[in-house]
Amino acid sequence: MVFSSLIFLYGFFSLSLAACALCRSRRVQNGVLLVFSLVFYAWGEPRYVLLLMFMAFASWACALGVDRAQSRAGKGLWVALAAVIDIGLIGWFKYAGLICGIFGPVPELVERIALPIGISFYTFQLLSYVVDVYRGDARAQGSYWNVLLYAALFHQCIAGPIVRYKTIDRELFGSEPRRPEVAAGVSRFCTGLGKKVLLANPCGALADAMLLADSTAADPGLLASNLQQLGQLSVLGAWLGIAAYGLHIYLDFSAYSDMAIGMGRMLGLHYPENFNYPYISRTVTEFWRRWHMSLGTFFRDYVYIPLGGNRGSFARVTLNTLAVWALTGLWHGASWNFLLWGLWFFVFLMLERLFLKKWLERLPVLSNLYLLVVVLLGWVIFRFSNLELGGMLARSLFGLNGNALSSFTDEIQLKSHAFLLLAAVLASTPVMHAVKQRAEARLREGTLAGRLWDVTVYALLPAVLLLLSTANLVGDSYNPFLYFQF
Amino acid sequence: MGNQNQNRTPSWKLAIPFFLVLGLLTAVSLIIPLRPTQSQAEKRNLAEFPDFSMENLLSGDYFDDISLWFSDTFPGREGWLSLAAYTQSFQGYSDIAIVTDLPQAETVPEYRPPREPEASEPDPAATEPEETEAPEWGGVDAGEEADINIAGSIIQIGDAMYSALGFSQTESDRYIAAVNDFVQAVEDLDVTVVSAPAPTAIGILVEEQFQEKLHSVSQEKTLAYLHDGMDSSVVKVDTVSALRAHNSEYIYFRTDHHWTALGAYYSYRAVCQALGMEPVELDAMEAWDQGEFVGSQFGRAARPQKLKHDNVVAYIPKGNIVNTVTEKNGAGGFEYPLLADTTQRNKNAKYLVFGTDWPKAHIENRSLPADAPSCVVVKDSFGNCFAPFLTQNFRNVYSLDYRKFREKPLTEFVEEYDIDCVIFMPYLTATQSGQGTKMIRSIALGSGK
Repeated sequence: MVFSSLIFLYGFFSLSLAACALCRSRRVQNGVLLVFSLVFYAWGEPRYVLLLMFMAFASWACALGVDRAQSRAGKGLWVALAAVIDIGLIGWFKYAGLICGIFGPVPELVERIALPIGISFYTFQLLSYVVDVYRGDARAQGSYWNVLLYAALFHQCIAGPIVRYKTIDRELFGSEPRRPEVAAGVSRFCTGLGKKVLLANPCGALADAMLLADSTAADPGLLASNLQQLGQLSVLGAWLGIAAYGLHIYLDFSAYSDMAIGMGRMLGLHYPENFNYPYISRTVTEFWRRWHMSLGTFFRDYVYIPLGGNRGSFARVTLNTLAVWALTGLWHGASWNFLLWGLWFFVFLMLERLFLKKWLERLPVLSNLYLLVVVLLGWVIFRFSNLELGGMLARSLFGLNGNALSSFTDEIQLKSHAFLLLAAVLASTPVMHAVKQRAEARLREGTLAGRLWDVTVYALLPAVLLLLSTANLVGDSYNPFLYFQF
Repeated sequence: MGNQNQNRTPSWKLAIPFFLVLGLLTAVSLIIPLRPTQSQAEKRNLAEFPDFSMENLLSGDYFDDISLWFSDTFPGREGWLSLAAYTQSFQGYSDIAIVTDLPQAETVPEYRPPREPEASEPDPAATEPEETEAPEWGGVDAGEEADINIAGSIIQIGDAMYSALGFSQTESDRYIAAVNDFVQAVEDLDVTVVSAPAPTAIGILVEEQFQEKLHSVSQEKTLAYLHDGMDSSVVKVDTVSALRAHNSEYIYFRTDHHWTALGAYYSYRAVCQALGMEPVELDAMEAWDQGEFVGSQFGRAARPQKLKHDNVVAYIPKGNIVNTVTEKNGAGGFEYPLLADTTQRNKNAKYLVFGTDWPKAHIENRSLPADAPSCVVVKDSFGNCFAPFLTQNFRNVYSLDYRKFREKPLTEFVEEYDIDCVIFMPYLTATQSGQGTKMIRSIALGSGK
């Protein structure tokens, strides 16, 4: 079940809100949230809900082991056991095919393995929990059901943000009363919903129309015609397609985070921000501080710094960075193009560390262009698991296939989607946010203008966005969610 | 990131409109009788609530199907879809909108110049081909992948919807072979075989140069390719030219992929002329206006507010005409009006004035002499408004839908019903699709042949 579906909105979400509203105590509300979360997960993965429960159990037990062990070594053994279980399971379910493929044909048993939804997200959450207990950053949770709730909470279980236990511990399990921010949460949720349904989905459809739909691109029987189609794209068509894809992937994923954060706020739970307008960055280094921040923080705190971080020789730092970016790439999918995608950024990060960043800082507009080109070319690698297709598109982007600069149909596509793209670009920049901040600073609460603003932004706009999103979801038209597969 | 730096802590009361909408639509969505089961705009049955099985449950299909049912049958569906189409119309400003993907069309190969008298001369003796030359179609070898690049790509140009036509050499050859094999199978019978595929709007109303830019192949060349490959005894009707001569008239619907009855009439005239028959004049028939029509393409429009609504007009053929149709193959027929009154029906259903796609309709004009000729028209929904005109020249018109008619092969039907003329009239798109050519071959020669 995805948040941007009618059954979620008018079945699951409304019932869960009503049920939570009726709960008098936090304990009962947590129980209700756990039941709804397990139903939510089982809706998409009826069998793998047991896997989620088992992994939560293993992490709960290991964290208690860490807590009760007397020696540092003993504690370390419990952490190692949790890591073996969690990494072993994600390795089996996500990477077995890729690893077997290195050595020969993939056995049928491995080919049949289906990727459990959200495993990359909840595995990292559970791992961070045990490590934080080991480090003394979090207390061990005595109740298995609480650990299960932390991992399975439907707001963030399948698509993040990756919420570390210590971030949410007090609000979820502490004794202080929660402070729901209902109107702000509703506003954030509807912003995300509208962003997903009204902007991300049509951008995705445009990208598919220009650059082959996923199912077409993945069909090996169509390789020849797919190569031909990408090779015949005009330069304009190729850039239009990859730009639409870049907008789609950002709006889609950040919208999901918006919805998760909004739902949390409605109940008084505060999840970390996951995006900070990454496309306005001027360097790749900055981009990754703004893109999928909860993943970046995870790798920084649990991989990069433990490996030595910036300390040590240049070779050592390079190796640490390489490890992080290879893992970042592979986290996104068990396919070589994802590894290459991670390494693509590694190269630019190292170049920036060596000299490029200093140059770019002095070139405001050029540095923005540089970032966009690097990121969009990165999306070319990201989109196609078949590297031949990615290579063909990359050549079309620069007219290296003998392709035309423009074509009649590509110009039509551009004109037909001009306002959509403009709105999507606006939504990818902090312009609207800045306008809102400025307006709220000027229009004081309690004044007539302030009230009008509040009614418009927090009362009418969410309802309108909900209605418009509903209209665009009826009939179950194009509504993919990219990060579902991770 | 959006609202992370909140300056305000807005009151929960401001969320009331959101909760009202959420609550109201939740309640409405749970009232099962409000859920539609059919979509008139899309002309399809909507998703049904799935049957439970343990296998479906464990695979996740059961819940997926419930989700699909929930959204597909959402109460007020048609209204929501209109609202969605309206919001989508603000995505851009082009007068032309490509609604579905436009694949690169295969090029129609060069064809040999048509053998002079064939287009209008039914006399096979006068059109002896140079049989010594092996048929060489040239051009690209389509291969199996050609099936994918078939038309179906929807474009909106201004106030009307169009479907781009793709060319498949493989399927064109299969269609040619089906007709040729049929001709061979009935060569001992005194039957005239006519090929008159129905062109689609884009090939008639849009300039050829423009069509090419929209990845739609030339219908003139496609038709020429098909006819060039057919046996010399086949009467080949240049329906493209016949319709193009009237392309300033209202011969295609704007919100639907069909031609109007007027378009069908001009095609009928061309068929009559090719057969050496006298077509009935349009003025001789009474025009029957069914009212405003919204066709099947309306729901797919990128800019629905720009679409001009249609109007269905039927022409009432003269004579004592009895129409007997069969609803299922082999079942006994029943009488059904040749033109059914749809003036009181909703805007989506006006095309049903020409009846539905019966597997077989026997239209008998009892005013004509008993020894007047009989014909079969092998058709799809384009033929529904075409067949009534034939009653002015043929006493018995058997309208057989190649997608549904399975009673017997056409070869046997022709013999049993003493048919004088067989008119192949699939719409041109069907001659370029694997499914279409397979069904045409199946009706002509029997399944498996």
